[in-house]
Amino acid sequence: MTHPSGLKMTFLPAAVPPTPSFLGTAVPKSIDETAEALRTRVGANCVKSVEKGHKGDPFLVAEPTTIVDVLKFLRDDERFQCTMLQVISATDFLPTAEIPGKPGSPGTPATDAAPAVAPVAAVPAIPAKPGRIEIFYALYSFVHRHQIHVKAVVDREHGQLPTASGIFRAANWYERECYDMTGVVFTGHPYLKRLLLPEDWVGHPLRKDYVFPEEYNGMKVPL
Amino acid sequence: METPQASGQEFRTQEILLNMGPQHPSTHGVLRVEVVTDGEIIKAAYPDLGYLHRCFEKHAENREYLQVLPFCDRLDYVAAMNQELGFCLALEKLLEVQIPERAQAVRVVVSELQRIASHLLAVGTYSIDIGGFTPMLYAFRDREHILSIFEELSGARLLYNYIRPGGVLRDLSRGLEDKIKEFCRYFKPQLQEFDELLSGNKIFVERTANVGMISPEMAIAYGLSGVNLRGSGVNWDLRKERPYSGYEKYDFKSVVGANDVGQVGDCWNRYHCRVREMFESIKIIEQALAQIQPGDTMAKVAKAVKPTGEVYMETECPRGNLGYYIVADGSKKPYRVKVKSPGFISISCFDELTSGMMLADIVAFIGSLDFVMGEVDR
Repeated sequence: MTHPSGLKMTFLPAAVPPTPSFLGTAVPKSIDETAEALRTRVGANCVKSVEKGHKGDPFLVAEPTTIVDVLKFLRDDERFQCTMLQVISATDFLPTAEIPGKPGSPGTPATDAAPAVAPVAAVPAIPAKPGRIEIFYALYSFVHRHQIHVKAVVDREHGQLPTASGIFRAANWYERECYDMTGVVFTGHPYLKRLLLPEDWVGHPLRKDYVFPEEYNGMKVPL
Repeated sequence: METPQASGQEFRTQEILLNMGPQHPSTHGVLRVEVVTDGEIIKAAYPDLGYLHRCFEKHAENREYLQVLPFCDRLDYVAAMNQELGFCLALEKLLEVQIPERAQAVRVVVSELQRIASHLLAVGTYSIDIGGFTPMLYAFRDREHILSIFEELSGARLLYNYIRPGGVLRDLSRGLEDKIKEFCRYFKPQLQEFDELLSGNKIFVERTANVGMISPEMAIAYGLSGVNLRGSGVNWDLRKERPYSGYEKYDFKSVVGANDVGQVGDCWNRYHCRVREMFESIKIIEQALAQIQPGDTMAKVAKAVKPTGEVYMETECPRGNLGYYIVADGSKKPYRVKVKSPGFISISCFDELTSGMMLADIVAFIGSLDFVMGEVDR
């Protein structure tokens, strides 16, 4: 199928998983069990860490190169059966050296005045981290009624990740949106074009160092 | 006169590109679809989004948590209560606040009223899409009652900013409780009438039954949720499966598509699930108002909250499961807010599901998915 502009818009032949039998009685799997199963079945290095100390939902951090295998395993293995991909989201983190004070505090838009206070000394030392983009996958299982959250951390500058659109059809558009907003390239994606922004837009707005353009196609952008 | 074949000329058809929208009345907002047709048959349909993109996620990063809340209203402007509820629940999960019983019941009442209002709009405009003008007037007349209840409650007709982190803005007054009960009594026969008026109508059934099929496998693969998933026969309702705000206390059915008029997964079933869901919503409202006890409607929450952590929370909105993913870094403003919008998913299945469909059916298909572009584009 060819788009009039000459772009190919075919779908990857994503396998459609069979309809699960509903209202399963199985106990939801804990995040540790999930990590253990992944390490034994997919590869010893596929799960980098298990994060559960923070408030909110625990998640796994997967090795970016194995993310497709991890998602495929979680979808197909009968202990997990996460047939539904709820969301893919990307969050940009500047290198900590770039923001004085708390690492990961919201970046001030460059058009604003420089931050008046930078309480460097008041903040306890937090180990510096390089800039990164965290891709967040939320999976859900109808059978086991568990929600499994997986993250993949990629480099900020040339962030690349294999596409999950061959596993979940829903991933197709989520990945396009992630690319649109943060510039992460999903390798192997059938149609990685901007989705919400115009095709000739410059930059990726959800990057923390994004500078809002003053002009677009010769028009002044109202601020 | 010679036919083209007889005269030796081959009868050729040509694929043409038809532009539908962004101002097309059946696109429910500003969706543009490039439809490639061969005669009356759709070969491909490419949705084009972004006409209503208002940078919600970017704005949210530069506002305090409470200031983000009014923006949530504007995501899905015809179901604002449900959008607020999702954001507040996600934030409360981070803050680990206990919500008073009364506030939870009030939240259930207003979000079910909002569900009725939203479904009325959906089925009313759907009847217009199909060509029936009268049912829309009935639907809008009844929706107006809900909007005036909300106006009395929050001061606004559409964008309420009523549900707040920790509870609700102000309590239901005694008079308003009676007014809502009165509305439920009034609305049941009206809805029955609406159902009889439209659901069995010959033309309506011909246009919607067995049209725009979504198989349960496909619905799950695309991550459809809410009525669009249940219309495909998948019994999945977050209010039942992962209850929040005390939904477990109320007795209601989750409505699933059936093989009676059409077949499971067609436009008619998605439409009729909405109608039947309104009956269930009335049941919930009546139970909630019967059980409601006097008490606080607001937990103690700081004016400027500074949570840390990250959370992903989904709630059952009229258009499907709306999810908020919040990354909080301990400052006053959220570090990242991502909205998983159910309408976004509904449109993403367009390319695949519309090919081979008749051109006239795409209008029926769009209407049956019931998305609001404000929430799709954010």
